[in-house]
Amino acid sequence: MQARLRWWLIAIIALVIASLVGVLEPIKLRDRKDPDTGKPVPPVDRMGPFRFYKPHIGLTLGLDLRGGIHLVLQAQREGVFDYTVPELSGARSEAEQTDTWEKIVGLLPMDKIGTDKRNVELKREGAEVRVRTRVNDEADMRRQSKIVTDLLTAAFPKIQTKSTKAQSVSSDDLKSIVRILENRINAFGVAEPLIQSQLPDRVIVELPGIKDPEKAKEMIKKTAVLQFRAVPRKYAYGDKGPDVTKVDGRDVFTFSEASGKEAPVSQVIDQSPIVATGRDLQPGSSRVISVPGQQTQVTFALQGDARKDMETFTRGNVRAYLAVVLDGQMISCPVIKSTIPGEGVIEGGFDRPGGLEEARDLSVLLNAGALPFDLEYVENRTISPELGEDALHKSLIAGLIGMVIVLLFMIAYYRLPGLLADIALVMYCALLMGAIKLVDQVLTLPGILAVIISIGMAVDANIIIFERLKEEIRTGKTLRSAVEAAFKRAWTAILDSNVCSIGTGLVLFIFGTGPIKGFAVALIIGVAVSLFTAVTVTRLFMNMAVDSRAARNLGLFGVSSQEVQGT
Amino acid sequence: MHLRNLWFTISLLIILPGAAFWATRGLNYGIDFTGGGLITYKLAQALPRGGELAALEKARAAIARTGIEARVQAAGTAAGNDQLLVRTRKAEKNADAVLTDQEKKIETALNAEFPGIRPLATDMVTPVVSKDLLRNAVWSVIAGMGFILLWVWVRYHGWQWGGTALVALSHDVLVLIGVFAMTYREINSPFVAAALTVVGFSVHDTIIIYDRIRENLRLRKGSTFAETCNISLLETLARSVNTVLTVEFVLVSVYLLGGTSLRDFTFAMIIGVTVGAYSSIFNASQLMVVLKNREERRLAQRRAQGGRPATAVAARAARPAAERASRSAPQASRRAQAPQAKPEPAVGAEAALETAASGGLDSSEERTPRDARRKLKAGRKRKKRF
Repeated sequence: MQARLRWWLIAIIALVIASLVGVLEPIKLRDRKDPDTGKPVPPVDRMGPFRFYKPHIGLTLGLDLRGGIHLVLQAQREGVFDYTVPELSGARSEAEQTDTWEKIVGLLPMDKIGTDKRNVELKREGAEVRVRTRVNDEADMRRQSKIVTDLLTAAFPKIQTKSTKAQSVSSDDLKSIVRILENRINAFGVAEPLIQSQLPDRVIVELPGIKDPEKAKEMIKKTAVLQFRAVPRKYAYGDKGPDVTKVDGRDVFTFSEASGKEAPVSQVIDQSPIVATGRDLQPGSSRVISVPGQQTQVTFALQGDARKDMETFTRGNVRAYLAVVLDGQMISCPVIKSTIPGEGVIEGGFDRPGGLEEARDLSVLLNAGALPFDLEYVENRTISPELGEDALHKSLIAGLIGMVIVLLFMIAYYRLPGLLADIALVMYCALLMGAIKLVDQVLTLPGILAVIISIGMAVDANIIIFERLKEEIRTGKTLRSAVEAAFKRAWTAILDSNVCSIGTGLVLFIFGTGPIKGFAVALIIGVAVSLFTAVTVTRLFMNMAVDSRAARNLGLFGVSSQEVQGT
Repeated sequence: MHLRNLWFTISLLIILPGAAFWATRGLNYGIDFTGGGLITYKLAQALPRGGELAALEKARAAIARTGIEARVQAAGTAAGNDQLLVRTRKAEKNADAVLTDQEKKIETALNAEFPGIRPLATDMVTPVVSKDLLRNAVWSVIAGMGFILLWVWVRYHGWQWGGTALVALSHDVLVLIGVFAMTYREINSPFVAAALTVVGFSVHDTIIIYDRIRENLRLRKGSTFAETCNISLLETLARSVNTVLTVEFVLVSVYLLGGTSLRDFTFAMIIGVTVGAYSSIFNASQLMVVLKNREERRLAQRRAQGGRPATAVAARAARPAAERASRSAPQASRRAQAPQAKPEPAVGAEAALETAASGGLDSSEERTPRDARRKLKAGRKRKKRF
């Protein structure tokens, strides 16, 4: 054997072994972690720094193979309408200001603006009134703006429209949404979550191996903003607070007007102007205080302007009621006893089975920070682990059987070169797995299919070369030069065709989503690796075969000696 | 020539009925492209054989009672269908809330009829996303095809090569859509991925054949394009068949054993790979021949208008060819079976060109001194002189 060939062989075998060790992970320097729990697996044996494990397939499986939930959330666009109302300016009396404000609050047609009842925020700062509402698109924003402006102008002819603008999500907003969702999901303890922004306004969340998808969905959905709303005096003031009853250990509030007429909680929430929102919470400021025999409390702290707003509002509205609203649910409604300096506690509703967990969840939400935009689910795919396991099992068996047929076919049709190509193909499988591990690609079901298809396609280059080889041998060339010529002449065709495969793969990668991307990546890696094995590795084997005794028997190359010219 | 038209006709025979189904019944778009929900339920026990239709009717009636519009289908393994696929249609506003709500109602309704039923997978796509997915799918097909057109065009220095390859690929995609239209299988994102993979793989065949044609054009100067093409097809035939076979081996294996999730995808691939091989052999290169024949005819006409009797040139060309043919008789006879298997009579306006061609037909190994390009050069020279 030539020295050059020997070194190539050693290099290739080393590469294959490295791939196998990388994928099967029988020896590691660090702990091997269980893919589902994320906890370290105890090694079978240790020797020095090495830890020995039972081999497994150490590739990250996609959601469709291990079960889990794939969510796409879209940040909702908002319209922000600013008005200046002279009746609210400091020149007017307190009473007039309050009346005006309550009138404005009562005016807003909650069912005609926003895309959902709870998406409208009304905020006052001196004589400035800001209406923040969720809009579907530009036209919808103009429609909503017109409704609000018309109503306000009819009631207050002196009102001035300051500005009307759409607020869409910037890439920075999207980054902060991703960061906030990461904080939340990590705090809830999910192994290997994936949170990814998708421009312009979407976030992809993948939670593998989750047992209770509905709960998970709710957990993320519970990202809506915490609101502190001032309850209008006609519903609650001083000693006349809401009736609190316990249903399932949760506080349920009942309000009634002076006339004794009961008002639904949702109506009260709608009519209560917002004092501060969770947007203004200081991140990381929330704690759960749980002392036996006392009510469980969740603390929070406001920051920036909201701190001042809260202080000003509570100073001027002692004895009024402040509703704490989370996700449109009133979770507490304390009476304002004194000025709140921007810090507070939420209590009540946590003292029941599971209440403590709920308090912790709330604290996590508050600490992670409030989202700058409301999110809606636009895509939701849930796969049970059972289905994933079944698909993995079946596709692996199918791939294995398909591969064995290909291996047999190659030997039957191409004899010795076929056998060599088969060895190269088996090495290809090892290298492919290694390459997928190397780029840390998640293996999805379509990805496995791409691997299986690429096994069928990997021999394509070999078939081209071997067909060429037969022709070259028939022209009477020596075996060595025939092999050289076959590889050389086949190369342009192999390259051109594989570039086209990689090109379509790239297109799929660019335009595809989720599992399709996984398919594309596996296909691209497969084609690239197959170029290496089918050309370099097979060529090495063929050169070695030519040097060996096998070269004397042309029948081993699928050519009968009668076919050869000049014999 | 006749056979060539036959191949084109066969292609049309598959595409046209597919197009008819497409036009009348439409395609069965999956929720990826329409929006909506797809829930896969696992039944406690497999549906009884024979009683499957009745069971499906029962499921449909149960869902209909909830007032939700849904399609119900059975799925499962060869051992028996133990899954129910329920598809609901989109709701434009608050799609997520609506679909989640529908999901719950359907599960309750089905649980009453089939106790122990549980969801294996739920897919829910709102119209915002499905519009994007559809747009991306269309763009990916355009971009993929465009890439291949450009690559082949650049690598083969001629729009005909890229163009015919593209026609062959479009043919593959059309047949694929046609078959899916006829069988009313679902067109979804994986289908588009399969179609593009087929496109990428089908162009393998085309390129291998073109590469050989290009090589043979250099080796067989003087043969008509049709013959060169025919020879090249035959030389690459074993490869075309074998490659398709190896890919089909794995695909069929996955189709039969790989479970329900992959079945439509592999079905698309199987059809596409088969059709792709067909189109590379019987469409792409044949179209190339049609284009090149036209070019040769145009050249011949130009030469005829040039005034100098071109017959002389061609006759001179034919002579050495015939001589060499007789010298290398053994090889020629071995190869001769090739053109007989699929006769491709040369088409030339000029009788002399045909003479040259018939000389080359028997001695396909051999070269005649002038190929089309040199004829072109000669033609130009004459033009200059006159």
